[in-house]
Amino acid sequence: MEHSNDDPYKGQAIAAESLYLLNLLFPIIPLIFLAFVYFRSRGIHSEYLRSHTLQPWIAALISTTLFLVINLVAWLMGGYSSLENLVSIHSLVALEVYTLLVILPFLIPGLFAITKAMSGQAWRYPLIGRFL
Amino acid sequence: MKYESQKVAKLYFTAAIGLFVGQILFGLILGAQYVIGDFLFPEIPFNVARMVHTNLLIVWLLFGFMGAAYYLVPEEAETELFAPWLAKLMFWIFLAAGAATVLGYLLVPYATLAEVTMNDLLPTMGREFLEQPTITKLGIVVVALAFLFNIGMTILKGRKTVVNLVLLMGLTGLAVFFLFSFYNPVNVVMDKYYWWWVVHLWVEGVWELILGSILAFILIKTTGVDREVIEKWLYIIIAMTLITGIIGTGHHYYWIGTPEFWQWWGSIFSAMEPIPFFMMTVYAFNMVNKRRRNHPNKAAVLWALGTAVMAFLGAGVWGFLHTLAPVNYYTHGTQITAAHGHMAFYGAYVMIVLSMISYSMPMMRGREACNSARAQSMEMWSFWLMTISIIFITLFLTGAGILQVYLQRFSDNPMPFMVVQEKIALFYWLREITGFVFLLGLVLYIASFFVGKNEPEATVELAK
Repeated sequence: MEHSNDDPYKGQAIAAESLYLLNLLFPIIPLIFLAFVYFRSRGIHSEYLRSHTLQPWIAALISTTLFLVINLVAWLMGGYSSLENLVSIHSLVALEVYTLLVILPFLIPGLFAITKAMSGQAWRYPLIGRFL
Repeated sequence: MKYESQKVAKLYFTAAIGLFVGQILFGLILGAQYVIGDFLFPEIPFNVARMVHTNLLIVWLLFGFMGAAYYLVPEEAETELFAPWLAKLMFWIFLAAGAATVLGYLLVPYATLAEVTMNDLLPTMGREFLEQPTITKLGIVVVALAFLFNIGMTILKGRKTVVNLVLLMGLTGLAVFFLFSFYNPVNVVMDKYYWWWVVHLWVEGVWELILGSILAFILIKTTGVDREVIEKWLYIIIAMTLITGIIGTGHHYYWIGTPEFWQWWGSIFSAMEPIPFFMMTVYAFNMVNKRRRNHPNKAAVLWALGTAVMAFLGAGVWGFLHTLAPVNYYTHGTQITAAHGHMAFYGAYVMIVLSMISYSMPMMRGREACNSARAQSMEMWSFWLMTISIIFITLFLTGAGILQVYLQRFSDNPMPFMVVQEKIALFYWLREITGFVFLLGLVLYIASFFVGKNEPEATVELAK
C-alpha cells in the first residue's frame, strides 16, 4: 500500500473528485468549478494529482454531455414546452434514463476514486484511465 | 474471541442461516407462481408463500442482529455478557414462536389462525409484513425487552464505546417502533400512517444505526484503523441517517390520503436518503485503504465492503429512482418497488449480518482469526454468486417495472393488471432462473463452514 497522507495536493484531488460526483447529481455548475480546479493543476507534475483531476474532468464532460443530449431529446419530443409542462412524462423519463444509464455507471468509479484520493493514492478510471 | 459468553451468538447465527434458506426457498416458489399461476396450489397459495417469504426475512435478520449484538457488545464493553442463560432462553422462545407462526401460516387458513390466536381481543393481524398473530407479536416484545435488558446491563457494567451505544440506540429504536404494530385504527389512512412507523422507521431509520455500528466494529477489527477515526464517521453517518430518514417517511404518504405537503417533504428528504449510504461506502473503502494490517479473514472484509456498495446501490440509488412524488405517481407499487426492495434488503441487511457471521463464526468455532484459505475461497465464491444474482434480479425486476408502468399506467390504452403481468412474464422467468443461482450461492456459503476444517488458517500479514 502506498500512502502519502501529507500529499500537498490532497485538497485539490478530493475537491476535484467531489465536484465530479456533485456534477452527476446537479450537472453544469459543479463542472465550472471542476474546470477551475483542473486548469489550475494542469502544470503540476504529480501522478496522484493528475489522476484525480484529469480523469474526473473528462468523465464529467462526458456525463454532462449525456445529460444535455437526454434532455435535448426530451425537449424535441415535446417536453419542457411551458412552465406547467416542466414536470411531464418527458422530463420524468429523462430523469430515469439519466439516473439508470449515466449516474449509475459514472458514480461507481467516482466512489472508488474519491476514497483513493482521500487515502493519498492515485487511481485509474476504467476506459478513461488510458488518457493519463 | 475474548469472552466465553460471546459464543451465545453462534446459536442465533445458526438459526438465522437456517431461516435464510427457508426464505430463499419460498422466494423461489413465489417466483415460480408468478409464471405458473397454480404452482403448488392449493397447498401453498401465493399470498401465504409471500407472507412466509417476507416474515422469514424479518425474523432471520432479527436473529442475525441479536447474534451480532451478543458477539459485539461483550467485546466492546470488555466484559462478559450480563446473563448468557437469558440469551439462550430467549433464543429458544423466539425460535419456537417463529416456527409456530410459520407453521400456522402454512397449515391453517389465515382467518382460522386469527380466530384460534384470539386476534379479536386485540386485533393486529392482516397487515403486510405485520401478519403475525397478536400473541406472536407479544412474544416478540418479551424477547426484545429481555434482549435489551441483557445488552443494556452488559454495556452498563462495562466500557461504553460509540459503537455499542449506537448499536443500543438502534436496537432500542427497533423495539420501540415495533410497538406501533399494536396500534390498528379503523381509519385506513391512520392505519397506513402508523404502519409505516414500524416498516419505514425500521429499515430507513433505526436499522441503519444497527448496520452502521456493526460495520464500524468489523472495520475496527479488520483494518486496525484508529477507533476515533471510525467513530467520527459513524457519528456523521447516523446523524445524516436520522435527518433524512425520519422525515423521509413522507415518501410513503404521497397517495394514502395524507395532506399534500407530504409530497414536498417526502420528495426532498427522501431524495437525500442516499447520502448516508454514500458516506458509508466512502468510509468503508477509506478505512480499508488506510488499513494498518491485512486481516487474514479476507472473506469478512469482502462482505463488509460489499455491504457498503450494495446498500448504497439498492437502498440509495434504486430508492432515489422512484422516490420523487411525480415519478412515484407512476411507479407506486409496481415491480420497480420490488426491485428496490430486493437489492436494498440484500445490500444493507443481509450482507451486514453475513459480514458479522463471516468475521465472528471462525473464532466461535475455535479458530484464532479466520477459516482456512479453501473455506474462504468458497465463501468468496458464494459472495459473488449471491451478489451478482441479486444485481440481475434487480435489473430484471426494473425492466419488468418499466414495462409495467408503461403498459398499465401510461400508454394511451392502459391494460389491466393481469394482462400486463403476462406481457412481462419473460422478465419473471429470467428472475426465477437467477434466483436459482442465488440459491447455489447460498448453498456454497453454507458448505464453506464444512470445508477445510482440518487445514491451517491463514496467518496475519503485516502491511506496515
